[in-house]
Amino acid sequence: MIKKILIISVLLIFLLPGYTGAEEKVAGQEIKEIIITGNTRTDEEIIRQQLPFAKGDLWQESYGPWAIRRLRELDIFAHEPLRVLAEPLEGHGCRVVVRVADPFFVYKDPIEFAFTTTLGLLFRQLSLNLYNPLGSGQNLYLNANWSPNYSYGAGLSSPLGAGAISLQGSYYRSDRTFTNTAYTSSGFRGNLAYAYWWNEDLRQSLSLGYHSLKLAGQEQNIINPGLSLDYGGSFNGSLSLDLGFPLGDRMFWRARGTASRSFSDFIVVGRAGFASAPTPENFQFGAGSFSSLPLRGESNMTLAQAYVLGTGEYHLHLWDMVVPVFFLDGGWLWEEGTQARGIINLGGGAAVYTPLGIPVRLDAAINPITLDWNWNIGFGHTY
Amino acid sequence: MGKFSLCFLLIISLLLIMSSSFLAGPEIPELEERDGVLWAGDGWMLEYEGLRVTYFTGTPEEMGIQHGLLATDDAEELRDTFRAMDPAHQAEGFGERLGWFFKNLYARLQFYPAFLRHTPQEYLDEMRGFVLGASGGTDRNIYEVYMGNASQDLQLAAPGCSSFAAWGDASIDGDMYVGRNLDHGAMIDLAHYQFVGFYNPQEGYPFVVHNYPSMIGIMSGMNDQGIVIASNYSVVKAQEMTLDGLPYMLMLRKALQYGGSLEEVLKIITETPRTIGLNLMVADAALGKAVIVEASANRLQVREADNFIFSSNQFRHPHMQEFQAPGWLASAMRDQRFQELAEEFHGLIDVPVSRDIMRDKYAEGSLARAGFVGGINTEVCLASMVFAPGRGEIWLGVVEDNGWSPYPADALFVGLDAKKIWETGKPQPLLGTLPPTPREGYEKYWFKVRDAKMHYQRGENKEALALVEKVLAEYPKAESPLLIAGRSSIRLGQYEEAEEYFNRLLDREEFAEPFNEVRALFWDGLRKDLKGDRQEARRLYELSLEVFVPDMPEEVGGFRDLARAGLEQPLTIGEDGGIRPK
Repeated sequence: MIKKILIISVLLIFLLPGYTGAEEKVAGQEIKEIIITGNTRTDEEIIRQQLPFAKGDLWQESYGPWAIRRLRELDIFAHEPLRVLAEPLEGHGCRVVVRVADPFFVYKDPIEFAFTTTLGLLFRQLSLNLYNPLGSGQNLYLNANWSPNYSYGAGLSSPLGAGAISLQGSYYRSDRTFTNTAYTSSGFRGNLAYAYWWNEDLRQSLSLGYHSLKLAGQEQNIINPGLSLDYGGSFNGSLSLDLGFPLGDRMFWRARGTASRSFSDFIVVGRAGFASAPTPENFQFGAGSFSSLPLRGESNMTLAQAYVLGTGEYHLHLWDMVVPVFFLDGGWLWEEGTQARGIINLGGGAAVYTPLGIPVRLDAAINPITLDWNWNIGFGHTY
Repeated sequence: MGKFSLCFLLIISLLLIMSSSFLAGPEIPELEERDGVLWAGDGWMLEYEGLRVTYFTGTPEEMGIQHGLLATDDAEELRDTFRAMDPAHQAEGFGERLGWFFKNLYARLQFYPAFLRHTPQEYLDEMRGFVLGASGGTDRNIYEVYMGNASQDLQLAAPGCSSFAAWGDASIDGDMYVGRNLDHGAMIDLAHYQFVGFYNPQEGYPFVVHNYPSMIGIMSGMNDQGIVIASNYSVVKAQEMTLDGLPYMLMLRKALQYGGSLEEVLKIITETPRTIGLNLMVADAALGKAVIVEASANRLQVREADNFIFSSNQFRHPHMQEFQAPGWLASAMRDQRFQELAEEFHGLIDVPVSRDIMRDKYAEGSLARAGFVGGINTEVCLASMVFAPGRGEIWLGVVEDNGWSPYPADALFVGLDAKKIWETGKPQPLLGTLPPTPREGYEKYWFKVRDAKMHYQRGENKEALALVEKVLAEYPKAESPLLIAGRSSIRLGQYEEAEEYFNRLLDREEFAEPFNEVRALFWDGLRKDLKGDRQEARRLYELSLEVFVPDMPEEVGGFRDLARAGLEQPLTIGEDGGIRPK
């Protein structure tokens, strides 16, 4: 549930208008003025160093969305208004306006805050953010989950050059049950990450994780560096590779990728991942049900060492508010020490669009071979 | 008593002393009348021909207290007037009240903190001073006053407000003259609270504003450097508005107080995190130049002209036109009329001519005049004024409290010598007066049409019809009266009479106001729908959609959408007066 709330928050940010696309008329014009406005707490220099342009450069259409993505990455500004736009100046040249807003210290929107906090408390979880209290760009995150699968964590993020660095750590306990296995892990995990937008479409993230925990009673100490690339141009895609260096044991590695593209009302998503042979269970992939590797007709998740999965989803736009949806999930899963298992799920449902623009999804799906079936209600699309 | 207890008592005593001095706040001066002038400390108030003129000086909080004491006699009545304009206070039934409770809660938690972040401390202090002064020192909470200053950012009104500036060859003596009508249908009940406020702040330039009690922000004003600022709405697309900024009236206050030249004013406006779409008149008498700043929350362009410039509610700069919101802007006819008047009065413009421009009723013999069409001078005009910033003069129409449209542009104008008041800090004799419009001949009927429109807008159809019937007896083909008569008759269920009015209205080669043709065809179509003649109703809806309206940026909104709905299914009038599919 908490993950879904996070998805809503992310979707909300990306659904809000940011770049209006009226900047092509000034493309190629010299930037004569840069106006940074709306920041009442944030140091102007923090904003300026995220801008991929400077006074005297020639304005390019891509600068607007590029700068907005870098500014959003800092997570220190309110959802609205966030604009980077250029407009013509009398004679020649252009003025670039960077419009931001500092949020209240503990929330960006009171309704969003009340909603997510209430839901969190229902699931014994409380997350608190302190947004940029000093104006120098640092956020502090605190999270507590006091359910049997507990987690107590904290994080700090900060601008670093034209990117954003974050450090997170948590003590946790996790009981996980899959179709083919179950395990319990508990201990500490920490992660240091640096995100950087190379252009308006390509985001790179470098990370270094450290895990010190007990997995089914066995001690584990793993250093886990990773690299991921996210692309959001003519299609959406992501690639990531991370390595695991268990202290006193053999190295393992994982690679995974996702690509998706919309063709009007039809959405296609492909996913593939591979984890090398000695990968511990808690680093393997959980596929199935309505997870991030969806097989929506399966009622349980499967722990897999590798997967190739695809999703096709058709949205039938008959009405504005309620959109019938039909989908097919399928592919192959490789469980540890077994042959590939082919799975196909068929399903349908409806997306009910709320005034916020976030759909409530009600879906049901079936595996036509095993006749296993499953249903789910939640916020946001699964693909 | 031990050392610990002694220390504890000392700390508590110190805290009590500190908190009592904080809570005591500044001293509220006694009101004192001397030689017909009401004084509050160094601030004063004097009425000229029924126009309240005030002078505020000192710290921001002191000026606020003087404002609270002098700008209104009855703060409770003023609060009731503001609340009567607030839909939250008009909510009926549990559901509606609950809805407004949550809207107000959201405003308090989201909009208000955002506004506060952008607001200079001196204006918050001045608001606190106003609350202290108006409440006699019993209240310090500025929330309601602040939201009043931001109300126009929160809830936009229909198109209104006109202004022009003439200088150089266009004026009689080369001086700068600025004419300005403040229009706002929803604020019409505030009209009789108007006052002229002279400010002598500790920081910035002395300035004078036309305003209403509790407004710390401004809509029209002039400073001692010869700067005049006046605002018109210009409704923009949703992505060009935000509520995370400085409310526009406070932005203009800052620009007037700290802008000593056109360049400085433009810099303040450009760098301010703005909220809504505006057409701002900025005139600099010392420079001999006036411009219109066309701005949204994020974009801004400056429109220039040689010696005469004007503004209604539509953007005229091609770049800004892209961001204009769809819907009728009621601006094309006003813009055209300003152009005609600029030519007609070229080289002759002074204060009386400027006043005449603001009370204009179209040219003799024109279609618009014959049709009693609304223009620069409207029934929703709250205030009308002329500035001569080079000489430091402000002339203002005196509003009568007649409980109806105040018609300030047609009222008696009084002239105030701002320059001398700034210099002396004391009341000064009037510069003179300009007479009101005589209510006879054509003008007598013009007022009846405007009154009828006000009645119609308030749902008083019988009264509206009775008034326009008198006009139509004298001017049987007049465009606006026929439209009011036809629509009122339909709302009263008098379809036969309505048919006769619409036949007369539509039997013409040309409408003065193209949007009136849209409305006439649509309403005649609605009449047919109400009588069950679906085929004819559809034909009229289609015709209404074909009319070209120059000041309607996109063919959506209002009557256009209703006409499209009418093509799909029959329309009817609901119990609340709203038009909707059957």
